[in-house]
Amino acid sequence: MNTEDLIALLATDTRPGRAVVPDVLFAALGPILVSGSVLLMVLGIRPDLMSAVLSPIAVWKWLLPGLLAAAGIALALALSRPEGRLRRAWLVILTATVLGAGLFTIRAVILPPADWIAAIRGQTLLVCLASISTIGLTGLVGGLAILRRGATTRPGLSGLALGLGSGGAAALLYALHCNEDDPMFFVTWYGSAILAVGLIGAISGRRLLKM
Amino acid sequence: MTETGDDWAQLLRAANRGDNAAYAALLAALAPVLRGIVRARAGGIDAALREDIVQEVLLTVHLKRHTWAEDRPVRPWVYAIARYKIVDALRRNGRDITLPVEDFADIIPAEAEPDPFAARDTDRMLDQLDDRSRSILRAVAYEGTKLADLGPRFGLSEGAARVALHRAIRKLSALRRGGQ
Repeated sequence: MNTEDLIALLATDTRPGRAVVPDVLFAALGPILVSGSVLLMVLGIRPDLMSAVLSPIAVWKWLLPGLLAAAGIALALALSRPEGRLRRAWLVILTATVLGAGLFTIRAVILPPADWIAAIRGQTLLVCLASISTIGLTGLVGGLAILRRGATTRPGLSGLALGLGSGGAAALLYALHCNEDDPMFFVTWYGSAILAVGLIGAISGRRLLKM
Repeated sequence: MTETGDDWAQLLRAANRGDNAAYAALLAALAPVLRGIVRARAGGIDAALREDIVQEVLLTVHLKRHTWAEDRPVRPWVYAIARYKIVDALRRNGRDITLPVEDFADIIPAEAEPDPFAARDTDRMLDQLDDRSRSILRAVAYEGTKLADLGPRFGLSEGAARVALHRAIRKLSALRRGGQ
């Protein structure tokens, strides 16, 4: 087929493609809200939620995942256009990472080294990792299905961004239940779970989002 | 060259509102520019393969045109797709290159070369399609069958013919991406 014939062919096909935004928001955040709500119904919301939100340390359990959720999903949306870039989102992700590392370090300086292991291990490490990664994965799967309609030229980064965003949103919800407020615990394990969802997103993005 | 970019936005906007003539004009305007880009960036590979890349970019532009935001320029959008497809094609051919997108600004458009074997891939992929998809694509591409005549010919309603044509083009594009 020569290129003129191909052009005639393409110009006859009048069926428009379906937009990525806002569908990907519903597809990613919907499953996270549903699975997160189910989990909260099973595990319960921490009774001292109000005082935790007002605590200058525990409040970072919502602020840091919130930053990652917003920046990750905004970045995934921007990257769904072939020429799309979003430097500010990277800055926000970097800032959240630095803030998390800072909180961890400050706490490590205050705490005697003999107590570090216990502080990191906490009481609920397995539930924490399993909950955040599972809730996050539901959003990753839903979001990837819609992102396939897009035209990213960075499939791995798109998946990573969506994964970090979904993991962040999942951690945000899980923090409503979790009463472990030591930064050495939540920075380590919230961070690990979010990063795991991000890496799974990067690997699946490389395969599924290729144009 | 900058006016050309504005023309492209006008044409694509009109195309999004259902103006097929504007859309054909846009694709026809893109083809020589894409040929120039591919020749400049992948000059070492043979002409038929270069035309294959041009066709693959056009197919992708077509299937992903909803990802162009109407308030943005068309040129960076097209170039990003072209760059991605060229790198992809060269990688498949065992060459790895980095491709700064800004360099496309001073590419000279190139006309199609009179090569009877140009763009072999599309025909090879056509042969792998199911019978109905292949017949539909051939009828439209080679015989110039209009959408309105496609339905009666294949015993479909006009809406079903439109969907069948779109699916056939998507299958063709998927084969091109997966089959190489």
